[in-house]
Amino acid sequence: MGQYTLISKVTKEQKLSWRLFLLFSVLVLSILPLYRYQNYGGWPIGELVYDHTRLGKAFFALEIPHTDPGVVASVSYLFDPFDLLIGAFGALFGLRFAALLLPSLLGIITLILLYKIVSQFLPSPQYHLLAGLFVLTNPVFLAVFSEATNLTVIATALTSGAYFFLRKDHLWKLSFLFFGLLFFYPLFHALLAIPLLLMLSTAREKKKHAFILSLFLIAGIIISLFMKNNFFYISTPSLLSFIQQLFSDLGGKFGFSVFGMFLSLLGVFYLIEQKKITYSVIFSIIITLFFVTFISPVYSIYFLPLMSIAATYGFFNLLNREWKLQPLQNMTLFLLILGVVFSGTSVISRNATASPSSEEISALLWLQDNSYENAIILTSEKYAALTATVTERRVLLDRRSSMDPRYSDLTTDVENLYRTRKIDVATALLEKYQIDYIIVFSEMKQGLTWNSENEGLLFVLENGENFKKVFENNKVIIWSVYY
Amino acid sequence: MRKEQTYILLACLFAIVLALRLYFAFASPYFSDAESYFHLRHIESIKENIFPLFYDPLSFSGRLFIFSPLFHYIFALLTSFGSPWYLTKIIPNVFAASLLLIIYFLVEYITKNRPIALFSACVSAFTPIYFVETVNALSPLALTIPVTFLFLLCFYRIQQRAYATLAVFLLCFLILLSPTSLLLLFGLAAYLFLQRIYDIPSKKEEKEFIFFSLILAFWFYLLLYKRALLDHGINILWQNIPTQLIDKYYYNITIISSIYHIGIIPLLFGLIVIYYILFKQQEEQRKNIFPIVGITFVTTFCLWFKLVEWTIGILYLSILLVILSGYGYMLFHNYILKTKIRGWSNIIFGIVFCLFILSSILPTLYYSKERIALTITTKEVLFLTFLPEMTQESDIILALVDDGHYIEYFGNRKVVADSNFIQIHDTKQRLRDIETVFMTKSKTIATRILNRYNATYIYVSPSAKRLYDIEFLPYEDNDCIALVYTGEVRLYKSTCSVKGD
Repeated sequence: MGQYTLISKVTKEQKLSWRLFLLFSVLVLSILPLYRYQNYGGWPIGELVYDHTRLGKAFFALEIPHTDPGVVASVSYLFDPFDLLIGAFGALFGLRFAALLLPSLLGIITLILLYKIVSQFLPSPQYHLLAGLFVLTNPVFLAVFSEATNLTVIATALTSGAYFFLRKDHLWKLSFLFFGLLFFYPLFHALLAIPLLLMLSTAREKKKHAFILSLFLIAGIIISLFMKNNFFYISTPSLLSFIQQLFSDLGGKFGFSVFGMFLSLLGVFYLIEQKKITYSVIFSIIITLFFVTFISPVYSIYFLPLMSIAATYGFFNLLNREWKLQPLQNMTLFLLILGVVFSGTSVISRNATASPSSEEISALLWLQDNSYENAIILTSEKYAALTATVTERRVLLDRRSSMDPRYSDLTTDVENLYRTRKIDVATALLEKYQIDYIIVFSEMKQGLTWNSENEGLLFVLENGENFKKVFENNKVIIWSVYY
Repeated sequence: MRKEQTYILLACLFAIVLALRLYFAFASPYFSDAESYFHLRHIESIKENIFPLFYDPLSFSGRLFIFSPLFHYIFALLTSFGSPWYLTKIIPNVFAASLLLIIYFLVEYITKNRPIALFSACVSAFTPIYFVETVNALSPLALTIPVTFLFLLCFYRIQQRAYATLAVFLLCFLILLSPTSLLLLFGLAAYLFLQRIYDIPSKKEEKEFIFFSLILAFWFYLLLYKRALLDHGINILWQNIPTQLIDKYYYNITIISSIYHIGIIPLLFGLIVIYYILFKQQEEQRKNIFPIVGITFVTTFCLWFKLVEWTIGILYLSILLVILSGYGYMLFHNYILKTKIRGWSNIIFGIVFCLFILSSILPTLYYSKERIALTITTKEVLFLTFLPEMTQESDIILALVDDGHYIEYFGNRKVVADSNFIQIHDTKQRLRDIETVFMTKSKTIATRILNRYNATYIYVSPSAKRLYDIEFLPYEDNDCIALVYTGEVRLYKSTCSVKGD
């Protein structure tokens, strides 16, 4: 792609573009925390965030954990910088507030850095502003920065790394720090950072720095491979599910907007025509596409800057082209912009009302107030992190319990427990793990664990004498177990 | 043939076709498919409350159903000028018959030959599948298909400002009318692609218009079906129809079924013309027919890969093949004129026309009669109209999916399931349960299923009797499942509940 050197003197137009961009960024990214704060008591969306807050809290209580304190199954703790960050932030503002605010804050930082990066590849302030807005309204970006997960940190680290790498002063060395953060996460990210560097270095003549950084990443990957279990898993999704995952409008969590993709493809054709696409860009696209298709859709975050640049070129190409049916030109552009904005707003509204709901939280808070400190809870693995964090009690097992050596036995027992309709079998299994409470979330009865109201353990709970329904609302039923 | 003569013949043809259609339409006081009654409920709701039933309290015991209601508003408006019963029979047939006029002008534009255009118009009017599907039904297809080809006529003349404006208007109309407009738009995109393959320079206006059309259609459908898309993802293409029923709506296209439903003349000449266009003809000649070829390719592709409902796909394909066959017959005629048997051209036309009568008109009449015979009976309707007196307003009725709309319209009662599955999450389970209620011999199982959906009544229609080969439910007694009405249909009432699963 073509390159535009940073203009030393900041023009009035550039200033305006920058200010507008900053204003939109803050406005858009503050919608979700404000909405959650007002309607959900500030409880953040998602599941993993509750693991991070629990472990972050343990950090700052100076209880550096060996195992997860919220889970009975012993899961050895692997350090995650995000736990530290959320803990530090939580120590200052409160954990719930930190978990709610941190994704938006990191999102704004990432956006600013991405704006600076894409500006270097685009000719004028209008292009900069539009490219920035394309990033901001991209469903992938909004999905990553709505929920406090590892991906939030990874995206920020990658952008920061790329930004510092592009700097011409000695600050470029800071990129080692940010790219180094990737070693704490699935190593595919560190692996994908190499073609990214290759692409940036070709465009900005920084081949030597890219080579050093790539060596650093390769060394880090090799060392990490010896230190932790990394699985090279490859899945082959069906064409239909791949298409579904690729577009957020079809329900893909990390999918793109149909219209954004459309503009990007237009931009790509234009750039090919103009011979502005280098082999390194094509190579990076192919590698990333492979990861998105066969490993996980989360790797579509690597397409963010490329897509916004291509979409910007696509849009301006349409705008500057002379149309024979002039009125259709304006309508087409208007529809495209509306389409991009609708996809973005749809993601925001979907995420703002995502689980956990107020009813789920109020049920768990009730249990926190009405149970003894060492109580053990049985619930679906999906809700384990949320339950352990909000109730401050231990759950039997969660998503990460697979590392526990007893995991196979544990899951067999839990599966038997969920399926059995025999009261004595259920009681024996519950007694084996000293379970005090069983929390049934409505989703568990809709296919997550059971398919109907009276299946397996649900039948036992309704008919057994050892069980008492202690709490019930529209979303949650809490059963107490008496021995 | 003079222009005036052609127009007189065309008017006569239109009158004959309309008369024939109305003869069949009025052969039964009811519509031949349950779906018509779904549309009728919305039309009546618009007349009463301005809005269609986006929240339908009867379907699936109450559900939200988002759709584009343009068709219902048009009919609400048109039927407000007279007796709705007459008008809902007449207007769809007027729309459907108008296709022959559009086909005439379209083929005339492409072939510049009036007799052939007239012949094509005649073939289009008697395409078996088109005639049968639109003759006694209140279906958006009766309006969508003529508007689609009218749009195509405008698209051919897009370089003229008036036609461009009309094309934009028709495009918006089509998009609002039915998502099947996507077939047309993808077909036009395929047309651009074909032009590229054959190195034919495309008109700038056409490119711009197709680009705009695709963006507009995508934008509108993403907005309208947003919730359904998020719920069902790419499966929305199959309308969330449960796997047990999917073969009823989407099935393989075969040569034999194509001959039955399309007719041998359009199929034969249509296929010959596709071959000729792709491999033999000169650039100039290709230009005119390529848009039709593009749409035919896309429709066939979608039918082949079951991406479009069979009836809709074959309907589009049949009309497209009629247009192609018109062009094909012109080529055939021109070829005959170059040979030694040119003197026999009238005899050959006579043979072709006889073949057309045998393979199109006769099957059309036969299938139409057959379709009318399958219409809901007066006794059934009479019973359903008494349902409000026999049951409570809140009662839910378990019946065949195909009977759902009848119960909702005539009986004004809630049903466990009908044939609109979009945004319903447990369709598979519901269908399995309905089948179990009709098949099981266990009263407990049947009662448990009825309890699951809070259903109080089981409705056994003649279709259900035929489908499951039953006369009475085997588990009926006077205690839990009691027979409350018997006749051509049966109604059972459930009074018990079963604890546990």
